Amino acid sequence: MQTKTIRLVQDILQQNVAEHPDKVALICDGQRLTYSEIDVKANRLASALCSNGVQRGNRVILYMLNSVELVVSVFAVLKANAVFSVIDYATTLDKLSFIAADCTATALITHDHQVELAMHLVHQVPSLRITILTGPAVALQTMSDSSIFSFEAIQTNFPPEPPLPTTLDSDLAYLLYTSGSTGEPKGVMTTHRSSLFAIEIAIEYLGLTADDIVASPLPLSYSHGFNQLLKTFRSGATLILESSFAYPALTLKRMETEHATRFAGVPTMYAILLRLNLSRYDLSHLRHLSSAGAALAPSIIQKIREKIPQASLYSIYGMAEASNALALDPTQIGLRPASVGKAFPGTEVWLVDEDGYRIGSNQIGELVVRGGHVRCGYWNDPETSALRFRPGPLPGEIVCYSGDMFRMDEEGFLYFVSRADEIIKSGGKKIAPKEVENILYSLNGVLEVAVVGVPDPLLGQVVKACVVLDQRLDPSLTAQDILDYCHQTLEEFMVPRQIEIRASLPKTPSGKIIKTDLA
Amino acid sequence: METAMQIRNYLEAKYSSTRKGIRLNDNTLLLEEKIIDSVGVLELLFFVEETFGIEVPEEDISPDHFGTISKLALYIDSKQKQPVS
Repeated sequence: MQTKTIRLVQDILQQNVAEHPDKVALICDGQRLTYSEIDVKANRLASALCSNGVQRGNRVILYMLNSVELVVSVFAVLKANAVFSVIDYATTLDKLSFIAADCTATALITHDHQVELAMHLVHQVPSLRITILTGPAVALQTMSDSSIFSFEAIQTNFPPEPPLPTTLDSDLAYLLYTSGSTGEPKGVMTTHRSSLFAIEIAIEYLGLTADDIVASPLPLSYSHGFNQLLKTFRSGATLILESSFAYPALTLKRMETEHATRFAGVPTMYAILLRLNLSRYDLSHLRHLSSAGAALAPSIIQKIREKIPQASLYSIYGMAEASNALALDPTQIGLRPASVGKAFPGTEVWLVDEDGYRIGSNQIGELVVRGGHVRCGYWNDPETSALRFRPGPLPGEIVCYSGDMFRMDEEGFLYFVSRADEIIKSGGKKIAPKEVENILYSLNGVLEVAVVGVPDPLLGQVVKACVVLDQRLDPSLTAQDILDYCHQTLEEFMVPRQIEIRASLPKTPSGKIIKTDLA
Repeated sequence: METAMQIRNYLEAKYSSTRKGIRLNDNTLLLEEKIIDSVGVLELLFFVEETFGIEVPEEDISPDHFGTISKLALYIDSKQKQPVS
């Protein structure tokens, strides 16, 4: 049989259907789905999207926990020649509205218990014409709104054949919304070609094969989480997709039962894992561990190696703008645990100083990434795109200025120093200090604010807010009042864990706050 | 039910202000309806162990026991009735 060229992300699924249709592709929500079953479900949903007006290049918001329906929706949107955006399930309605309006989304797919949120969104975002709800179809029969569809009913009412493909490999596959220094989410535009390149280099480097069983509790809204899905399917392997890491003992039990060979997590998950009695689980099949999202603390690395000695640990650095940028080989992790390694083979990185000149070892500079995994810009934001995505060495080429500061040792291994824009990484989530500062500044009685990340053994970092009060505006304002206000206005993971009331903030002669003195 | 009320008070104090529009009752699905996340489950565990003086084995941290306030209250009450070994 002639193998079809993989040009588009959804071709991955079709290739598996051609080669091993009955192989279990996904273990999730207590279900086991073969490649063929996922393909048929995706085809039916794609047909429903097209029949209801979704056109080539339209954006579809997927607001769901990790689930079978989410995986099916990802492929269905692509088969409908459209562009999906998986949104973090912790995202608030306001931010979700912003994102849906920003990308002028045509459709929304979400869980049935989010029906009220969906209705709010439809009223706020005029472009949203179609809502599809998962869950029992019966519940929707009472709803008269003709723009609301049942995911379950679609699976019986629409044909199992896919719509005609019209997408090119240079078209967008998805938008990955990420927090930025301005606080407003930015949609990173990812083409099919770039997405496939990023997973190909990772599969080759990490040695994934069809025999692998990959366990991942990472949300698909997160670059490293989404890559687990694509890498696994591209390898023809099996993915154990956990809806979250809320019940780690159950995840471990499933890994034991299913003979998981790989586990993908973020440092917080490893910190939680190490709290458990791992000797109670048979993880003898586990060969690879990977961590991304933030640097793993050397003490955590040491404990993981002690408790799971049979598995190689890969420390990976990536970002939505250039997925799979750096990796530390497991043979090096004992020698230089603080490093995040070197560029993935087939890609290139270097460091530049403030003037854009390349710098050598033991100097701190911004990481620049070159290769096919570099994305093509931010949706609807040419100004920020021009800062992050700049011309490369060849005409028409784009390289990514990561915004992250690194140091390189004499052997070329890289060490993360800080975010150039001081983003806080807490529990695998990114927090823009500016966003928290903006909220605090909106509180009457707050004169000046600086938000920084401080180390936390569980979350990596947590938010600390240093506040100078204006007694004249509100003499009774307390740290507790500020905290209460944050609880009312911010997503929970952004709420400061520490609030320090100060008489003043340290500043440079030019008046810029010196945040390094506050952490 | 005293235990359920204590759990509800804890969750309301910690989360309800950030979860506007969500009605927190004893049968609200804590994870699926975004009342708590993975770290929130861990924090809830710490609260339960400290407040009710019980030790929760890791295999019991599951949706069957931590999925809703009523399930958790039943679990705590049953653990408290067990004789200390």
